[in-house]
Amino acid sequence: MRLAIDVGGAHTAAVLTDRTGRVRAEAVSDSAPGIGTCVRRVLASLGPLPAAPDTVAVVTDLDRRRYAAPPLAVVRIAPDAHPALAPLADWPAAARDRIRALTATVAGGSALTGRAPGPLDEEALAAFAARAHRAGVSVFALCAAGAPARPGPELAAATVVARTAPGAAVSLSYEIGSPGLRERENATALNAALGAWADTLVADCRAALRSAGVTAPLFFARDDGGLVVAEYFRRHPVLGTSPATACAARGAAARTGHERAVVVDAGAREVRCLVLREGEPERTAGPVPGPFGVRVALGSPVVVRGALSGETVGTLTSRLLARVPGAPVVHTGGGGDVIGAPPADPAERTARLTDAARHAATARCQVELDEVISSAGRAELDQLLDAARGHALSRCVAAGADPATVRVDSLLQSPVAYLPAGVHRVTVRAAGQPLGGADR
Amino acid sequence: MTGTPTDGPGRPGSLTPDHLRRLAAGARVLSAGTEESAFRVTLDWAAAELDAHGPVPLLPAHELPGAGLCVAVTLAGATAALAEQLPTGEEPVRAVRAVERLRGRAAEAIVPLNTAVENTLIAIATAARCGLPLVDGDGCGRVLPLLEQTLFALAGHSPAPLALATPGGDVVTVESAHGRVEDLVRPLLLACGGWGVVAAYAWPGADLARGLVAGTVGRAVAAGADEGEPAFAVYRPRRLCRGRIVAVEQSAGAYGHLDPAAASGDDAGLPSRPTSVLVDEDEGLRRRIRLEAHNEILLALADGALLASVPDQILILSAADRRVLDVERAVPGMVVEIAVVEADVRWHTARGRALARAGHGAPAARDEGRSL
Repeated sequence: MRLAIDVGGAHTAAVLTDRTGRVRAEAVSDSAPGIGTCVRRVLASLGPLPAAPDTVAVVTDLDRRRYAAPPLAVVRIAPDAHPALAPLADWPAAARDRIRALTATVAGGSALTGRAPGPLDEEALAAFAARAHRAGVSVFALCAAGAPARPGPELAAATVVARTAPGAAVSLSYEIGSPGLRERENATALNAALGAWADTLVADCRAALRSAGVTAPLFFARDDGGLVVAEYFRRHPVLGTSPATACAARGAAARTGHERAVVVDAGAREVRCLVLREGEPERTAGPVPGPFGVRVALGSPVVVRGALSGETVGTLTSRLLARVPGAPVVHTGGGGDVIGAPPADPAERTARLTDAARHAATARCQVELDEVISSAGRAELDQLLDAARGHALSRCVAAGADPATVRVDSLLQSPVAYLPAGVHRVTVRAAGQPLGGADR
Repeated sequence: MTGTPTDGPGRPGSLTPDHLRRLAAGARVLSAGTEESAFRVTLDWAAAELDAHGPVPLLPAHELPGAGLCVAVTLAGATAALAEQLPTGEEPVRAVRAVERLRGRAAEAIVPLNTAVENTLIAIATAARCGLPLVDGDGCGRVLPLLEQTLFALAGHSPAPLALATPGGDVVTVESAHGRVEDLVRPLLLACGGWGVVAAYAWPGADLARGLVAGTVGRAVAAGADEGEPAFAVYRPRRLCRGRIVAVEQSAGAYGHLDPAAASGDDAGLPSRPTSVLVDEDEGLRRRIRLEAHNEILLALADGALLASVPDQILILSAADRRVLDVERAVPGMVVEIAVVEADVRWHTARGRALARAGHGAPAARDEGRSL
């Protein structure tokens, strides 16, 4: 049995599926401000479960509630750059107001070819970390130039920070972002800033589930609709700040049998549309505004947002249909009446409200790995690609997948333009079934 | 001076931050595959230089300082490396100053080497920092990957004396290269982290004018004039056909780029895999169109007959919004238009064609290109 709970702005939906993915029980209740209340309420509506679930998955968006981020320290490990390109220089003013951050650039890092321009300036780093520590900052984001090729400088810097600011939470960019220093640095800073949000979310969900007697391992949905286990989510919260639409879209695709579609998710406050191909949401290829409007390149689904009106939806869908000519428009979410979606009988209405939870109840753990590798020849390239596959698989296990089921879904490898023939960007996606059993 | 684009009536007298935003949008119309992170770096950098040093005068091609030294500026190396090791902002000035020392005189204008959006933006940053005007034009009229692939070279000018300035603060000068500029500069780029700013083709305006494609900077500004919807028409595309993509085929050779021959040749740094796109015309003669691409679309055939080929720029446009599609984003089922933007006439001479092909590893062309 797998349980999934989708906590939205207006509604909370819960779905229990059996081993084959068949729905055994489902419920929809009104949402409350606190996520714990939402979880308790929907579990009460669901009634006594036929069996204890093996896993629980939660789908919820960051913007459901206002979040006050703790102060942050952002360290760029790289040679000095133009002041206009300094850490956080490209953040919108509103984001800088909401996330107060001390920033520093210390010498170190490497080029994409792996060559190091100079050693890590440990002294400068320790001085900055001490200053941040004294100022009461206990959340650090470290981003080194060249980290996708050489994570070493970031790991060395993390040691310095841990020594100087004991107990600090440290986010490292090589675990989070792709090549492109500024976007990776932004994603790492956001990741650090969101740690407290994830901690609270995990604790609240856990407490509510325990109070209902559910102790199965807890998973959270990522923006692309994949799952990660709670401990992994707490370390990588930036991967799962707006999973609701992708989950709803994938659930709707499975419900209607349309693997290729434009999905319209009518929520409580706005409408969100995306394109599905082969059941997967279309992903962004470059930097886009992420949480707090900060530009990141996380390859998250392309979600087009608009006001809740029939006219807006018409414009959005016709624009998206141009990308998947002839594809059907599939409706999900609770706000269909407002936008003039095809009328829904009560069963259809419940189905639309439970799409996201139904998807999460059958979803796999998913992770990706973005690396830059340099090889002298074919044999070494093969070795490095094997190593990248291995990293992705172990990362997937760390994300809560059953080791017996993890596999590499895709490996994209492309030479980096205008670097020597052996320098490749590698993107690996791995997935596996969430591991059930006792919660960790 | 015979460039296709000319000094239009809408050409600004100087470039302000507002023009910069338009230019950035307009210059990307034809280059769907721009590396986004690097593009943003160069845009923010150029905008900061304009903020700090004021607008850059945009010099119409016919006002080029005849005897005054003009210097072409370009990014050399990998945009992915630029996005990782960010510029300090000193690189272009150092490169220009080094070339000035070699030439023994001060530069009077900066000219972008080609129309790649990063190169135009870096040329603007350079002009702002050096307090010089930017020439409204470039040495290519389009984008080609190698330093020697310019109409300046075709007009008989050597890129040397040339200076490469790296983000690490190094400056390397090449005084005479005898056709080996690319071979000399590439290893230097690797030694310095993958990218640098090159100042080259430092020649008097009157000489450089023979290789200039005039008006390309103003054209990019015009193309980006409308907020959100870049005006593709500014580039005067010629429509070849309209139809539906029926297949996208990629060469299976995952290791093709690691073949010793390719690794040592001019092909070494070219990014994408050879790809064929098949389009069934849905009107008129209902021909089967075949596009052959490697980094860019090299060839368009209609039922086996030649429709267009490089050095002209062949583009796949989404029929819905007439935006240029990256070849990697072409998927079967899409309704598309195939259009061609003609290259400058000088690229259509025998020597021009040979030089334009140099980056694609055709041996004969490579030799001819090198002998310039």
